Amino acid sequence: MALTKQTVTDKIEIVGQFNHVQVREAIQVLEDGQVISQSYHRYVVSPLDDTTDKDPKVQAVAAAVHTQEIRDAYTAHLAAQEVA
Amino acid sequence: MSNARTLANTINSNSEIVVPSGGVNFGTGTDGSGTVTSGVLDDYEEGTWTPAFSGATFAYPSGSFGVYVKVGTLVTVHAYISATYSSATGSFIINNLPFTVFNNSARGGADPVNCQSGITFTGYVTLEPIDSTTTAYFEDNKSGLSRADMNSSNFASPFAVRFSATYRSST
Repeated sequence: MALTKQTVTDKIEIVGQFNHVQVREAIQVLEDGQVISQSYHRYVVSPLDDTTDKDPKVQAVAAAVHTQEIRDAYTAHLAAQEVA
Repeated sequence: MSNARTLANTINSNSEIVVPSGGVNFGTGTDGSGTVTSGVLDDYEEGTWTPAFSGATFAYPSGSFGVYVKVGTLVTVHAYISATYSSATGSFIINNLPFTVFNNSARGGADPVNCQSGITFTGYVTLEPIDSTTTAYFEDNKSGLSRADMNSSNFASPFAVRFSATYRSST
């Protein structure tokens, strides 16, 4: 009986007008290769985020949808939220 | 027979009802202004996230912990953050909520924040999710005055904060 643990990216969604990349990771405990326990961890890649430490699949999706136009629009949207 | 087989296929060996797609349909209604609203509950999920600040260079020597529960499009997060910082550049913001905030001014509340240590304010502190982002601002709400985004003038280093927030997500 061998217990192992792994984290896999199990869902990637592109959400909203600024193409936020919503990512769900499944943290799995396996016994002899079969998943016996699983929990979820979430993160979102925004247009201005650095993706260098992310799953290559997430990097690829973010690179494709976070165009300069989207980045500029998101920067303006964030700036408009500031209050004194 | 067809209906019986469909029902049987939705109950697994743990006696759990499985809804792989679609959802539970409670019918449709209106929101009081004539807009038809969805009555389908199509999502439930719980998990963890790792809350983080922007607005300075932050470190989390004691960790940063968050959990979430999503029911339909309604997300509730709970978090505890103990942080130090340097090189402040602007408002202190939670910049990585686990789901993107709904694009509507009625996106969610401004829930009260439990300031554990190292935080000063004038009125009371709330966390305000921003539409179409994964950010939320800490606001100092002052009686008779406009709210103010909080920044390094409000936060010592180190500081600690605990909060819950409920907001509507885009999905």
